[in-house]
Parts: sequence; C-alpha cells; structure tokens
Amino acid sequence: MSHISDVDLQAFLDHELNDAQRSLVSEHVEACPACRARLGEFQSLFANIESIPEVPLRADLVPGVLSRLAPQSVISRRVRWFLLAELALGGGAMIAALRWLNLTMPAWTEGLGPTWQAWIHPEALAMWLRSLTAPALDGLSTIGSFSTSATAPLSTALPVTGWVAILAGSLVAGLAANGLLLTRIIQPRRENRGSA
Amino acid sequence: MPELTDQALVLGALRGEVQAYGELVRRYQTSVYNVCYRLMGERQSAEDRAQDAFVRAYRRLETFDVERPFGPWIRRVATNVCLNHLNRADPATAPLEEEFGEYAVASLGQPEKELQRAERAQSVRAALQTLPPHYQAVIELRHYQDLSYAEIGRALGLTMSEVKTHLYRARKALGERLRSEGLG
Repeated sequence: MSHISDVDLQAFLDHELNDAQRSLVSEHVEACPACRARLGEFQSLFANIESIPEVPLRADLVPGVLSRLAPQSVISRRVRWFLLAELALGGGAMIAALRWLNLTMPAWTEGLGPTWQAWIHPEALAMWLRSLTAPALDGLSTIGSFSTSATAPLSTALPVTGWVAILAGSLVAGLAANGLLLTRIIQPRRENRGSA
Repeated sequence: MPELTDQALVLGALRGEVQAYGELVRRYQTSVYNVCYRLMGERQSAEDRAQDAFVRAYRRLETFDVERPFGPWIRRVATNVCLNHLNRADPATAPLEEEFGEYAVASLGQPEKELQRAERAQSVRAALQTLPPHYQAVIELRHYQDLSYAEIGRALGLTMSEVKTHLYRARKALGERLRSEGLG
C-alpha cells in the first residue's frame, strides 16, 4: 500500500483538496497507522504555529502615518532653489539690459525715475550700495576687487563676460526650474493613469 | 452617531479625507503590527514596517476593491512590505532575548500554565525567525491570515506548486526546530 505524501497530508489539513481527494486521504489515514501518525504530527505542528498570541501595540501609529500622508509641496526644494536663482539672475540680466540701453541709447532711459536711474548709472548705484554697506563693512579692508571702504568709490563695473555669464546663468536656471516643474506635474498624472 | 463602516472610510480616504484613513489605521494597526512583528521579530522594526504598510496602502488605495474587506488586504500589504525588507536586510538580526523578557514580564502573576504557553509561543516565534523570508511569508499568509494556496500565490507572485513546496519546506524546518526544543 503506497502512503500519502507529506505535501498531500498538509493540503488535506489546509482544506486544499477536492471532495474526491479528501475522501481518499480520509480512508487511507483510517487504515494506515503510519500516515495517521504523520497526520497527527502535522496537526500538532499547525497548533504550535498558531499558538502565538497577538502582542499589544505600544505606540499609536496613527499620528506617524498621517504625518507621512500630508500633501507634499508641488514645488520641491530643488525647484525652489532654481526659481530663486532664476529670479536673482533674471534681475541681474534686466539691469544689464537697462545699462546697455543707457550706454547705447541714452535717450531711452532719460524718462525713467530716480530709482531706475540709480540702478542704471554706475556712480548712482555705487553711492546707493555704499550707503547700505558702509555701516556694516566700515573698517574692513578691500575684499577682492570690491572696495568696502566707506570713503573709496565702490566699483560696480562688470566686464562684458560677466553680464553674459549672468544672462546665460539666468537662462539655464530658468530652463532647469521649468523643466523640473513640468516633470513634477506630468509624473503624477502618468502614475494615476497607470494605477487606474 | 453610528460608527462608519470600513467601506465608507475607504471611500472617504479616496476623496482625500485623511482623517478617514486615520480611523482605518486606528482600527487595523494592532493586527498589522502583529503581522510585522511575526515577520520582523523586533518591536521597533515591526512598528516601522507597519507604518510603511499603511503609507503604501494609502498610495495604492485606488487599486483596492472597496467591495472586499479592508483587513485582509492591508495585512497582505504588510506581509509584502516585510518580505521586501527582509529580502534586503541582513538575515541574522533578530534580537530574541528582548522578546523573551517581554513574555516573561507579561506572564508575571499568571498561573504556570500561562507561562508555559508564553514560552512555547516564544519558541515558535524564534523558530519562525530562523526561516528564510519567503518561507516566513507563506507561513504567515497560511496560518495567521488564513489564505488559500491560490491567494498566497497571487499575493506573493508564486505558482500553486511553489506555494505547496514552500509551505512544505517551511513546516518541515519549523517542525525540526521545535522538536529539537521538545515541542514536537
């Protein structure tokens, strides 16, 4: 008489056999002490496995889970930095453009107010910057090409390559920021379509 | 005020009501935590994985069939979260002494029978920890979550034949380990 395999005995206990197979195993186990003993061992093992009681949870998981579900800012930190850089460099580019206009077509900038004039005219800008920085920097020696002395004229002149660098930097930062923003907007839509 | 059903809470969460999902977490956190504790064998890691499971389930809530019960689904998610973690982790990291101390403290003032039961449970838990992760997972799903072979196969991406083999080998290893400790 061939015996029932361990896999089939376990499937019997797991209620994974059809009616015909169950009857076959039942009849065999009744007549075969060896298979009955093995079935008993498996029953004991199953009871041991399932004897583990539930343990209490020490901490409430709700606050931790909910804090991780909080909607994240659409604009990531990286994009925010790019946008700030774009803003700063864009401002620099605009001043550069106005100064260029002032140099090439002075009549264009004559109608601008004193604030704009201050930004366009190197001497006016130097005076304005000096009034801002002099109290803090008074007593400090010259740093690089910038003179921080309150008495010395503050040079704001930039070579053409400097203005080109500002313009190029502004362009790159703008493209990067907008590209990342588009990625952030498009990616979730793709994910939503994928999971639907 | 009548208590909202799981289905209503899931629908609320799908509408973006985070507090509705919070209520689901409150209802199922103990059972999910116990799934993780059986598989991870350590409290802090079990809590972390339970949180991961709830977060992952929330992000995939649209794939959940609201006509079906939430409990079995979230416990299956937790099983997979733990299995993924165990597959990545160093296998020999289960600190069992801490757990034994906990059982001993829990049984203080209890009859001797209770203490023996706690010790037996601890031995079984320790034996489970010695299994490879995929064997642990089939034992978890079959014995603690009462899934059929077909459901286990779907949950873990295994064929029926693989499920049977994994279960057989896992139980064999467990049986040998428990017999060596006098729990045959």
